[in-house]
This record gives sequence, structure tokens and C-alpha cells, in this order.
Amino acid sequence: MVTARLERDGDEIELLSILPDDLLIAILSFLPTPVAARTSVLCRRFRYLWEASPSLVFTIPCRNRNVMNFIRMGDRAIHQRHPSHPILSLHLDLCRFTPPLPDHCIYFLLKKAHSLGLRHLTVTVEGPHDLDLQQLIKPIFSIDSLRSLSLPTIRPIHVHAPIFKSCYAYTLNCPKLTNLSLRLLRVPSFNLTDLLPELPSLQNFHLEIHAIDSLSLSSQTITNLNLILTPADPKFRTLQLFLPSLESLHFETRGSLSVSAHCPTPIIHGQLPVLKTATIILDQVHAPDVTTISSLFNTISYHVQELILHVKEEKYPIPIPILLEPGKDMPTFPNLKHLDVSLCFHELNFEAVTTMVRHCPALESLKLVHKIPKFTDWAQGRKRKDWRSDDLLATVSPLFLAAFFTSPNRSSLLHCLRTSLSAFSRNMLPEKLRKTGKLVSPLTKTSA
Amino acid sequence: MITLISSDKRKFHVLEEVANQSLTIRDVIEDRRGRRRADRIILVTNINSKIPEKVIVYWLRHFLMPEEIAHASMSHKKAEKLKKWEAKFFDTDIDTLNDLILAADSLDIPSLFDGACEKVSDILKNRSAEEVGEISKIENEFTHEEEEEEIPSENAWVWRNEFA
Repeated sequence: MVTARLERDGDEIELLSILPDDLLIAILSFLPTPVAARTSVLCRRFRYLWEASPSLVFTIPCRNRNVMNFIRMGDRAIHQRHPSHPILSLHLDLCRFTPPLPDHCIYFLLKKAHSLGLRHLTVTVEGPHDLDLQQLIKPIFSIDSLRSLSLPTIRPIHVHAPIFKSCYAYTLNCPKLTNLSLRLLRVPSFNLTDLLPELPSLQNFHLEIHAIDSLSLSSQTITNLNLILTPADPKFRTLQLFLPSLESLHFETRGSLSVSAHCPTPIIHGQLPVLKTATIILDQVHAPDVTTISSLFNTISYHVQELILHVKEEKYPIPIPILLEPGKDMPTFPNLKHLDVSLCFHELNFEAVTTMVRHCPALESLKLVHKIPKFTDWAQGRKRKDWRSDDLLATVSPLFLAAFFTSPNRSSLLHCLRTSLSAFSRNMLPEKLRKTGKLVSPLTKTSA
Repeated sequence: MITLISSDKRKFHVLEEVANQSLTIRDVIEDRRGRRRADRIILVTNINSKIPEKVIVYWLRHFLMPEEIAHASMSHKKAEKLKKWEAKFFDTDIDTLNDLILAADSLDIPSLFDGACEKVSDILKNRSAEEVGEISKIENEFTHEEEEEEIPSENAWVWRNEFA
């Protein structure tokens, strides 16, 4: 085929057809499956070519009539697949209005994919769906070649029924699974306690959870944790993280941490001995949440080297402390090198950040972004001047100077001021500092 | 320094470290290590001279930024730059891309292979079957009945789901 290529003349060449089949299949595997399947009309050679593609995306259709077509096609593309064409990645997209599929349909699809060495599986469901995921959990978690897995929202049918460990006592068997993405909606946390020890090589774990009771994550192997937390029940009191290999933590909250005004907020504790980077994104912080946040700081403070802290939108009527519990001390961050804080720097917050900077002897770079909260009807009675950053300029400079002069590692702090901060201060800071001894506010103004 | 000879007898001299990005060449060199200098010449029979030029340009760009380092600590800006460069690099006619795929396959250069395949699939994406046939100059050899009835019904699900 390749030699024929050299004797071509003029317009007679067939451009794609000179490629051998396996290279064409590689090209087709980059196309969305429906587009790849349409190449079957090109010529005889292409007719069944796409069915050997190692990556398939199936959008299970909405109308009954099409479901039969889909089943026939899945039959050809997966069930009759030759073992010399392994299937590496499979994405099943179940639409909202899919008529109930025959139960065995997806079950056998997964069974066959199992025997073909499936590595990456994604199942998505758009909207509420009748499909019983419980039934799929078993075949999915017995695919031993699986490397990455992403599942749609899981809701328990009965609160006390275990999801990952059924009463039929099957064992989970995914020795190679490294990436796992789960969304759990009001699922009791004992299910996670069942699941995690069964995954011996899990490294990246993405978990979105509506927590209804105390949560405990422990695993020897997880290095990246993406935790998106929505507290959904007052019974959610503690979050324990025992992850001895964790290097990067992304902690995000959706909604306030305190479920109701009268119940205590959850406490975070755990052991993260090799943590390097932590990203904390907080949404709708209320006054009691400061307990949770400072417990989180206590957990990560000793080892963390890079800390990114974003407070998304502040919906509280008066300026409240977010980072520092009144009367308590900020933990020391002995290894922290990079700090990136983005929140409204009203006086209380600024004091907390200053204390924080003071407690970071190894700090090398610092980025502060001031967010001006939105003034809506919701926030009636707010005193605008409490939030203004003009006032800030007055309060900020002395505080920051204090941080600067009390920091034991002054040269590195100066370096960090000189190098990072904002474009605004980058140009004028060093000279000003040297000449006048006064500090320009390092805060850039960006609207929230 | 090793020498590559293309099918039309042009010679290309490349640093060994650069050419090592091709797993095939790396194996060949490893096989012949310690032998005479003449053995450092590698015949690349199935590609014409235009392609080695492109491949070597690609190698050089990637040699400056090895993949492992690229993933671990490359700054966002540099990654963007490399992405832009690659987009420009692959922005050629389908003919050249075919040759690149063949070369990348026989020389075993995974990143080049993936990049070129992705580009070809991008070209084919969002086009009707007739257009694809035209671009890649594939002759339609189906009978009328096959074309009108059999095949569309075979994959009916694909035709009713509009992806474009």
C-alpha cells in the first residue's frame, strides 16, 4: 500500500485510502462515534471500519424506535468485535427520556467490554432517569482492567442499603483503577468506607457529595483529591481525612457549611503528611463557618507549600471574620511558599491575612485579590463604607508594614512583594519602599 | 550524530538525542551501539524528503521542551505557546498529514501520531459523507440500493442524532 503511494500520478490518488486499516481506525477513534459511524457510507472499506475504533461514545437515543437500532449497532460494535481490536474507552450517555432499556442490554454491553479489556468508562445521565444504577455497579466494579471511571449521580434507593457492597457479597475487583469520579447525593458515608479500601491503586479521586452524616476518607494511595462538598444535613459533624499520600487537595463548598443557624458547623481534621498544594474555594460563608475553616487550616497548615484560597461571593450582611476565629490564634505555616488569597479584604479579613503572612516564614510569593461584594437589596443595612477598599488603603498599609517588619524572613517577603503581587505594585513598590519607607496597598481592585 | 536517508536519497543529519524521540530509531541505535560509524545511517524508505524535514522540525521543537517536563512544571503560558505552535505545524493539507501519520507510525513517535490523527479527524468532523468523500478523494463504489437503504438503516441511530 505504501509503495503504491510513490507511484501515484496526478489526481488519481485516494488520500485516506493509502493508509492501512489500523491507522485509519486510529483517526476514526478521534472522532465522535456518530461522526465516525457516518463514514460507513464512504466506500466498502469504510463500511465496518469504525466498529473497530478503540474509543466509543454512545448516546442512547430518546425514542423507542431508535433504541432498537442502537441495540443492533451496539451489538455489532461491541458484541461482535474481534478480540484483536480491544476497546479502550467507552462513554455511555443516557438521555433523560430514554425509554427503559431492557435490563440486560447495558449489563451485557459492560460484560462484553470487560472481556475486551476496557480501560476508561464514563457513564453520564442527563436529568432524572429510571435506569437502575444499582444494577450496573456490580458489572462496572468487576471490570478488572479499568483505569478510570466516571459515574453519574448516585442516589440510594433505601438509605440503609449499601451501594458498593450488596447483600449478595460480591467483591469489588478493580486493581488498576487510578481515576475515579463519583457524585453522591444523600448517600450515607459508610458506603465510601466500604469502597475505598477495595481500590488498591486509586490516585485521583473526584468526589461530589451531599453529606448527610460524618464523612471519613482514608486511603493509602490517593494523591489528588477533589472534594466538592454540599452539607445537606445537621448530622454532618466531622470530616476526617486520613490520606498519607495526598499531595494536592482541592476543597470546594457549595452552599454554606452550616446547614441551619442553630446546629454546629462540621469540624475537619485528619492527617495529610505529604500535602503540597491546597486549593480552597468557599461559597456563601456564614458567621459560624469560621470554626470549620480554622479547623481546616489546622489540618493542612504544617505541610502545605502552596495555598490558594478563594471566597466566591459574600452574602453576609455585615463584615464577619472568615479566616480567623476571634480569640484564637492562627496556626503556623512553616513550609508555605506560595499564597494566593482572593476575598473581600475588609478590616477583619485583612488582619487575619496579615497574621497568616506573619506566620509563614518561608513565603516566597504572595497574591492578593480584593473582591468588592455586590450591594443588592438583599444586603440592606450594610454600611457601604465598611466594605470600601478606599478605607482599606488607610488600614492596609500599616498592617502590611507591620507584617513586613515582624516577619523573620524579611528578604524573602520583600522578594515576594517585588515579584508577585499585582502589576500595579510591581512597578512602583520596591522604589517607594526603599525611598519613603511607606508601602503602597498591594491590593488590586476587582469586582466580585 | 545520525543520518537519515529518505526515499528520494536526500540525507538528513540529526543529533542522536533529538532523533531518540522516535522509539524505532532509538531501538535501532541501541541495537547498533558500539559498531562502525556507517551503521549510524538509517534508511527511511517509505517517506519522501518533505516529511523528514517536518518531522525534524517537530523533534527540535519538542526536544527543547521534553514532554515529561512539560507536563510536570510547564507554566500555563508556555503550554499555550506550544499548543499554538502545534496548531500551526499541523495546519497543512491532508496529503502531508497522511505522510506524517505514516512516518509517525513507522518511526513510532506517539505524540506526533496522535497530533496528526487528531488534525485529520478535525478535518473530517462536521462534514457530510459526500464532502468527506470529496476531500479524501474516496470513490463511492456502493450500488444505489446499498447507498439509499441498507447502510442508513444499519446505523439509523447515527443519522437521527445530529451532532454537528
